Amino acid sequence: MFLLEKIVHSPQQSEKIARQLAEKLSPGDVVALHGELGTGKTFLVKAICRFFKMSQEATSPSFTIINEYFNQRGLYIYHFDFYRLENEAELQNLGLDEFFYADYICMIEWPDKIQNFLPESRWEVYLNFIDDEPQAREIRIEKKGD
Amino acid sequence: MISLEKEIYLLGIEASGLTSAVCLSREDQLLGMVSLNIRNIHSRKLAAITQELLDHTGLKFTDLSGIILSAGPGSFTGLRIGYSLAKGLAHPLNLPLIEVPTLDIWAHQNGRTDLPVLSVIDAHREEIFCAKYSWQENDLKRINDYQLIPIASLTKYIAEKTVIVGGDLLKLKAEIGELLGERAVFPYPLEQDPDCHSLCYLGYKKFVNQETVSANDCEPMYMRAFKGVM
Repeated sequence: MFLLEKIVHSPQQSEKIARQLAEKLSPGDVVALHGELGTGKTFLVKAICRFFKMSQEATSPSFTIINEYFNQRGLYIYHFDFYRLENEAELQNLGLDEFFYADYICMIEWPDKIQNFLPESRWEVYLNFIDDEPQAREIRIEKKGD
Repeated sequence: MISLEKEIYLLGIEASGLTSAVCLSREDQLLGMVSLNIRNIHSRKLAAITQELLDHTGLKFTDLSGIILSAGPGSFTGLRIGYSLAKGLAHPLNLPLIEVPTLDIWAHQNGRTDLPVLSVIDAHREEIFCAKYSWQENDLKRINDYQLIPIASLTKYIAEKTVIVGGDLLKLKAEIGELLGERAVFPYPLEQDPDCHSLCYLGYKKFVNQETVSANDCEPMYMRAFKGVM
């Protein structure tokens, strides 16, 4: 299911898109965030965490692999970054199914590195640079599976 | 060699799912338990409630004869935390570990029945961990191996009226009921956490039969083969 495709020209506009996505998210949802370094994947997670009033500011989990955020209403968001993953064998120490098939929201940076583990039903978010406009991004959001 | 001459106190640890529980038994009799059904709490509370339980019962770690573990299958993270605590205690105290498959606990805690029993645990991805049992007098016998199967294949797997028990039935009951129709008999009320009495009872039986492992040799029953691409 296609949700939206838009070119944004400022972080404020990106934040607005993030809020639009957040309004559609519910516990159990998995969001795969595709985009090169610097396209704003972590920014989007930060904005979604602000929308849900998480108790912690989202930070990049590049070194921790997984960050956990929660709010006063008992919502948990797990934020993954698989940039440093060298092969999928490293995943056996993480127990990913427990995150992806539970009532948490999971946001995954560099999801291509864990293709075999992603649930079929998920949100796909694509972030791309726009030539000659450093602040601008092309954002495409779609829902896969049921 | 396990000595049965001194009083036998066993510590039980249940962290294979949502429940964080510890219990103490004298032989197969439960002395006390502390149980929390709060998610994501194993790493913060399991060691603390173990100490609390010992304090309440007036026992010391050095009084223990062994540690019983709910061995899974179940939560990957929970099992690792439970096993870490058990190994951490067992190693310096030189205690044996007793692993009780969690499917056995579920089958046992629902009590004797004339019907066959199917114990299930949600494995996600439309699959379940399961095993079949039957009660022979007062003994629970497992009648096939522990399995990981697609939930849809239950229709082939269960041919006769069977009592379905397990940890995730609040989630799975409707689907299993639809698949099996009148072949599925569900206990009422559905129990939501594995029972410390059954953990202690089954653990003690294994202990006296010397079915124990060392801290170096024990490993949770994960059961799901790693699916990654090397």
